[in-house]
Formats: sequence, C-alpha cells, structure tokens
Amino acid sequence: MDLPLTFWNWLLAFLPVLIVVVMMLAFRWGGSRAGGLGWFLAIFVAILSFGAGFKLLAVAQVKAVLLSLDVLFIIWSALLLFNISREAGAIRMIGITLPRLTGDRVMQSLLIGWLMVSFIQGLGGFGVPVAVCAPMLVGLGYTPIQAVAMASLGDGWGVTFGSLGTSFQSLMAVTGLSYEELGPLSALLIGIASFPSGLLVSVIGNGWKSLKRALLPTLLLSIVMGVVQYLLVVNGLWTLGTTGASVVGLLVGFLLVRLPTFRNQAEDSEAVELPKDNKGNEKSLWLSLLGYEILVALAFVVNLVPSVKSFLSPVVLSLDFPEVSTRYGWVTLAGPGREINLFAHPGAILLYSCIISYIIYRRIGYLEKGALKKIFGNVLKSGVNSSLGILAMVGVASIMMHSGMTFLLAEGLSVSFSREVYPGIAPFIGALGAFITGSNTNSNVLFGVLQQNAAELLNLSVPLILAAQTAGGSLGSVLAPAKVIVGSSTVGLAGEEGAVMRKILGYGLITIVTVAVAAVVISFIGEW
Amino acid sequence: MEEEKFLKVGLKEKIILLVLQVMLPFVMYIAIDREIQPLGIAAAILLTVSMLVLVVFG
Repeated sequence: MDLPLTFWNWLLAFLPVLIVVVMMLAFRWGGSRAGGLGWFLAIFVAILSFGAGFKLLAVAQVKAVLLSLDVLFIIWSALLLFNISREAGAIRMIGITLPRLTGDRVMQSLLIGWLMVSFIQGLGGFGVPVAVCAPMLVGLGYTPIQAVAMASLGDGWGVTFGSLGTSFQSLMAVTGLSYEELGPLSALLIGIASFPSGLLVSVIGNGWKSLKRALLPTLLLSIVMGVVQYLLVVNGLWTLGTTGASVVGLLVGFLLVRLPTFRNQAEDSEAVELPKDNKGNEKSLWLSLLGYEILVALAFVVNLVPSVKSFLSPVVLSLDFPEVSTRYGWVTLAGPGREINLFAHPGAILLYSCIISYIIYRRIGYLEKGALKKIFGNVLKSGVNSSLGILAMVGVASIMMHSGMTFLLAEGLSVSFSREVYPGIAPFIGALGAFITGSNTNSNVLFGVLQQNAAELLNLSVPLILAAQTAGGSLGSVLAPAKVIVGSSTVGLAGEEGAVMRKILGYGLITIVTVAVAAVVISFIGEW
Repeated sequence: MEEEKFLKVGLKEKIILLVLQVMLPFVMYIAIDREIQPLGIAAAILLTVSMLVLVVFG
C-alpha cells in the first residue's frame, strides 16, 4: 500500500472503532445506533483518506451483508430455541435445580458461566454460548448485565479451539504452518488464559470478596482443562480442543460440588415448588432442557459424521466478487464471499432442534396452546434490534478491511515496539482485530501474516507470536460490540449493549494482559 | 419534560429498515455485475438514508 504509515493516518483508521466504543460506553448508545455512526465515519475516512471508490464500498457492503446473514441465521435460530425452551420451563428449572445440587454461588457461576459456556463454544460460536447461558445465569438470580458479562468472559478462552477449531484452522491456512508448529504454544497460552477467565466469572457474579473462595476450584479446573486441551491439540485433535477440555472440566466440576466444602446446599432450595406441565405433573429438568440436548446431539452428528455432513451440504449460497483496489494500491483479490452451507449451517442445526423440541414439548404438555405466538413475538422483538446492530458493525469491519484501514492499524502497532516488548503487544493486535471484526477467525486471517512477518523481522519465535495473536484474538472477540449484541439479545438487553460493554471491557483487558505477560516471559525464557 | 422525537422508530419501522439494509446491498451487487450505474447509485442512496434514520431516530 502506498499510503504512508503516519500517526495521523493511523488515528484516522482508528476513528470508526473509537467512535463506536465511545458512543456505547460514554453515551450508552445501543449497538445499532453506534454501529451506524461508525459506518458513516468508516465510509468518510475510506473515501477521503484511504482512496476508496464506489465499487470498493459497494463490494465491501455486499460482503458484509453476506457475512451478517451467516451470523443472523444463527442468532434468529438461537433466539427461537431459547424462547421455546424458556416457555417449556428450562430456565426456571435450572434456577430451581442447580441450587439443589450446590448452594455455593461461586460453584454455580463457574458451572454455568465458565464450563457450560465453554462446552457450547466447543460446538459453535459467534455469541451463541453467551446467548444460551446468560438467561440460565439470570435464572440463578444474577442481573442481566452480570449474566452477559460473566458468560462473555467465561467464553473468551475457548474461542480459538472452539467451533471445531475454525479460528486455529484459519491461522494455519494463512501462515502455512502446521498444528505441530503452532499447536503447543497456542494451547499453552490459551490454557493460561482460562484461569483469569474463570476467576473473573466469579468476581463479576459474586464480587471481589468471592476471589479467595473461587481460587482453588478455578485453579484446579483450569489446570485440568488446560492439560486436556494441550494433549488434544498436540495430538492432532485440535478440532475438539475446547469441547474435550470443557467436557472433562464439567465432569470435574460436578464431582467438586459433591464435596461437602462446595455442596453448601441452600436450606430453602427443596421448598421451592417445581413448575407443572399441562397434566399437573412436576416438570423434569432433563425434559425441560430437551431442546439443548437435541442441539448438542445434532451438532456432534452433523460435524463429526462425514456422511451426514455431505448429505446436508448440497446447497451452498455464495457470490463471486470482482477485484477491488483503493487509489493507494490496497488490493482485495477477486473471489467468492462468505459461503453459507444452508442445511449443515449451525443456524440450520439450531432450527432442526427448535422443530423437534417444539413437537415433543407440545406432545408431553410442556407448552401451552398459543405459546407459539408468544414465542415468535419475543423472537422478533430481540432479533430485529440485534440484527440491525450486527449489520452495521460488520459493515464497519468490512469497509475498514477493504480500504486497508485495519492493516494500517496493525502495521502501526507492529513497528512501534521493540523486540523485547513485541511478544506482549502481539496479543493486543490479535484482540484489536477480533474486537473490530467480532471474530477470532477474521483476526487471524487479517493479521496472521503480518504477525508472522513482524516476528521474522524482529528475530522472535514465529510460533510464539502467532500463539499470542490467536490467544489475544480469542479473548478479544468476546469483547467485540457485534458479539455483545448477540449475547445481550436473550436477556432483554437489546439496545442497552453499552452498559454491558462498560462492564466487560476492563475485566476483559485483565485476561489479555495475562496472556501478554505470559508471552513475554516465555520469549525471555526461550532466549535465556 | 422528555423531548418528543420527530420520528419514532418502533419495531415495525425497524423491521422495514432491516429488510432495506439486507436487500439493498444485493441490488448494488446486481448493479455492479450488470454495470447499471443508476441502479447502483439509487440503492446506495437509499441504504445511506436507512442508516441515517437508524442513527438519528433509532
């Protein structure tokens, strides 16, 4: 790119992101309004300072809509499944049943806000784990803002090896390195990040005074999950890194709450009456959660049985895009945009779960007549606001990527720091990319090669810098406005995402700083 | 006293904005693909107006 890297150009490139964050945090604007303002700024800066033309902006916007549709398919289906399950009593049942298992608020928050969130992240991402688990936390008595913040931070460590490893796959694809080269250090840094993630879930839910009580179980669980994830990744099973680790974490977690120290059953928990079905019988927890049980089973079958996946994959929606470039020579090559595999898409799997669970819930009397109208009404109310926010945010990210603004931002960061400091900066570059685009995968695609080049120029370990990139991207993606909008949609916070952002940004930085420090220490030890 | 908005963007209006923001970029794509410039410009203007309504009145 011919555009010189100056502080002024860097600041202009940063302006759309800055305005979105400021409007959401300081003025408490919702995601759609703040994203819309960021969109206008991104267009002005792209045209006036980065030499973007009409064709480039149009292509960027169409690609943004295609990417948004990919995400919106998941959001609308997740909202539908959540509302069907809520009407069937799932959220209320968790609120009643979990305190019977353990009255310890720290363990309750860790089980749902950290371990369950990570398990769902293992199967599919883009805010779905938060959208699913935040209402469960509300059912346990946490405020909606606390619930979204807890689930978001609990989710952060699991993104790179979650969603069947798509983010890690993208890092390998763009850098040309294998899992043997990238896996060990990536798993190590992410394993380290799981510890502060778990601790912060407890702190947000139960205050700083809970830190002492949370320390031991969180340390034990993060070591267990970190080791399991490391072993899976270095043995080539990186697609199951988060899933395997969180399954073992959940098992250990349920064993822990059997211990007298953590059982601490609430005295009045048995006295709360369980909701009843249409026939007057008490509802069962497992039947109430049927929608999510079907989702987990279908996700496993569709993703892990190749014949099922190929059977469901004949219809793929995509568009071919022409090559576009800015006046300063930043080129985006021609090629297909986001491909949407209509029947094997995570949104489709959620939709199948909705249909099957609705039929069963109706047959066993867990849903009343007329429930469907209420369900659709609630889905529409949350879905429209969130969708407008996603469209605007993804539009900002796409315009910034196509006009070279995102690249300039990362380039500025990578050349401003010395060799000794750079391992600590790399996670922040990864986090920045994920914050802007809402995706660890996109951050790796955008900045993977840049970080690789920077590591080679500075004579640093390439696998370490790339591990820091993806770990930062993983932790930064859950702080992204686009993801916060999705997470907020199921707890009645649509339009109030700014309040959630205020809550999570500071805490989120703690997790990224932990990875940064770990990367600097590993780099230092490696040289020593 | 709370200031009354000139235009209130409720759920119905937001649904219309959402449909416009999803459909109009595809109109732009067709315009680029078939080189129909006026169609592309018209879609871009409408898209910009829909985003402006969201930012100002949303």
